[in-house]
Amino acid sequence: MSMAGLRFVRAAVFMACCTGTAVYSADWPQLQCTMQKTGRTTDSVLPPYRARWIWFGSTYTVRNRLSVATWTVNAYNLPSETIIGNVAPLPATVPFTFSGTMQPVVAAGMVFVGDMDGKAYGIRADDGSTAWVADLPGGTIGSPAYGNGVVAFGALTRCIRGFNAQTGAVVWEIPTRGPVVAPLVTNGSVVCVGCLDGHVYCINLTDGAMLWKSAYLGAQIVGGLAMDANHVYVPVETMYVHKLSLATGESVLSKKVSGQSFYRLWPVVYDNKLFVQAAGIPIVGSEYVGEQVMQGAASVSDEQDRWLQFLQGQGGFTNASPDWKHLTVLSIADFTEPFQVPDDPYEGCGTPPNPPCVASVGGAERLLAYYKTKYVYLCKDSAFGTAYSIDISAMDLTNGRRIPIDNGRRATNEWYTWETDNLYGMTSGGTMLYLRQGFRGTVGINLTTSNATVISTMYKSRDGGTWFPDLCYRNNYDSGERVPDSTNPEVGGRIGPSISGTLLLFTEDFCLTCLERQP
Amino acid sequence: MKTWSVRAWCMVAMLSCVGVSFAQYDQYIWQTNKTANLDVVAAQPLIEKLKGEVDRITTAGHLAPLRMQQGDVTGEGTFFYWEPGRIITTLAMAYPYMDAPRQQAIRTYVNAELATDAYRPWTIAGNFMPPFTGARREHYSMTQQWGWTWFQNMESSRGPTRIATLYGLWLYAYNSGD
Repeated sequence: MSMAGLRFVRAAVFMACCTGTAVYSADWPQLQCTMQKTGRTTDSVLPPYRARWIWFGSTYTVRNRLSVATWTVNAYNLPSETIIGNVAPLPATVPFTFSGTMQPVVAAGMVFVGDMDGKAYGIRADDGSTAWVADLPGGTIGSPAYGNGVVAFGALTRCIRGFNAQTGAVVWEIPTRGPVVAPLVTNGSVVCVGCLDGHVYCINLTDGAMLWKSAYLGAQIVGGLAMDANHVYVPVETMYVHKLSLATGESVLSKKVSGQSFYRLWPVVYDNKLFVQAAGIPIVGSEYVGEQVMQGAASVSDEQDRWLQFLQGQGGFTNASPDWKHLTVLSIADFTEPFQVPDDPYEGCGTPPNPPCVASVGGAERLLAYYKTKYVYLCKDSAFGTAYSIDISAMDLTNGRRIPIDNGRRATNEWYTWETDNLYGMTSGGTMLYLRQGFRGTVGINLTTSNATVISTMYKSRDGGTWFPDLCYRNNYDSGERVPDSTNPEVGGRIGPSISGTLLLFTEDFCLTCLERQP
Repeated sequence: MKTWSVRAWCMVAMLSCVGVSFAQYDQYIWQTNKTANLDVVAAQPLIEKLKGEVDRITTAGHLAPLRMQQGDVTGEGTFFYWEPGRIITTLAMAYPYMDAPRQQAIRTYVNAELATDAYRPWTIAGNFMPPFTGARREHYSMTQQWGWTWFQNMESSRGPTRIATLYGLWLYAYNSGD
């Protein structure tokens, strides 16, 4: 962006803060924002945060009068650090459930989400009012995708539907032979959808014309897809990753990668490489795996060498095996592996390791990943599930090794949980890295200053801990307080928040929450 | 195999398990599910899929227990189809929907399973089929036998699986006439 353009955006954001108008300088049109699944936008929403509105269903939205003084309906003063339920009435129940994998899509001044109960929603980003509700038979657990005035959803009852983004009218429907559980990917013109029937469907977003349906790829497609200008990258449960021609749907390359499933994951296209994350073979989780690797390490570099040994079944470490490899890097051109990432087992509680995310570090764009380590630079220096810790670092794209993010301090000024088996999905905006999961909530880390902000939790006190978030819904779970009850048990997931203009958005199973910076 | 002999064998096994007060098990012993008024046209895609799965089984030969692991801790593990003879129940259920060549393939497969002591429902060779013998169903390979010891220890306390797998054998005989 030119300096003049930058000045204009800054001026617009400044004016927005003064007038209470939400600004959408960039859309968040699909899971992880871009078709490459980078999770990155230049829009920046800095702390502290306050609720702008919280949507509890098509008939009830709590609004913050501090955001727009003229709001009167269900409007309350909700400054940062408000326990929402202490100020605004919360419903005892809501008639829907959002999956933990449902990242809101933001485009054309609207927010789009789908529930597990059979509805798709178009919600006005500015005030959280419901513009439309549409039927989506069987419901959905994957994020939709937006382009050319149409928002497309995959449904569990074997179809893909495109809705007019402003009215919710059904524009088109494509039947499938199996449920769609994966998030959709779009380049703005076409949408590609992976299906449990083992096919990928490529559809013109505008009119619903099916441009191609891939050959049967050998098994279910449960993970998300990624795209670049000419190809679609498809993880299939055979553990093969396919590179399909965007023009024809033909598989031009495929490669088997290590892991047992791609469920709740997606590949990331970056630096002419494809970063393919999978659930590890021995276990999905990571508790106390590879302790000897870290224990005997003499330096960051030595620790990385030892992790590589562990991942090659060498070094005499307990449980050392190639079976632990969960992150595979492929060259986009020929699907060769340029290097092996010394990336240890992490995550758990049934959740696979989180895919990498692109962020701005020290003014340069970097690919970030979790690295289990005893040398911590950015995050907390102790973690559940290990005698050591786990850190978020940049990846050296020539060899996969860890480049610590060292701002001279760690992000420990606020307390948040740090567990190797209970980590967070990542997205980034401006200099902020956002971490989120449904149970532990949302954390922001400024990658320039290492300042941490606990952005949200469901409860202020829960599971033996007390947080001091900018937003929570109830005070104390252990004393019997409860957030609204949704229709289904939670479907877990690790998904970072969406960032668009001055807004930060995420779903809980019982609501859609929109935050903004508190001036 | 003669149907009457399998049924008699199953009855003996069941009676020995349930004791003398078997009246409450009458329905279980004497009745079985049977599909009627099947909409063959509507069901055809599922039948085709089922045929494909049966082909994969009969082509693969003996199958090792299926491993699933969704947990956090290294020692844990969950396995399916580890009971000797368990696969026969599945093939018995699929049998009525198969064409003649596939039905023959199932008969050949089941008889091959029954020819190996460790794979028979009534085996005394052990409560578990050998965990890493046979074709694997997972889409990945392993360098170690992750999780089996833990799973075997967890399951060992409940004794051998008999009634369910013997029922499967009876159902196979009932559906196939073998």
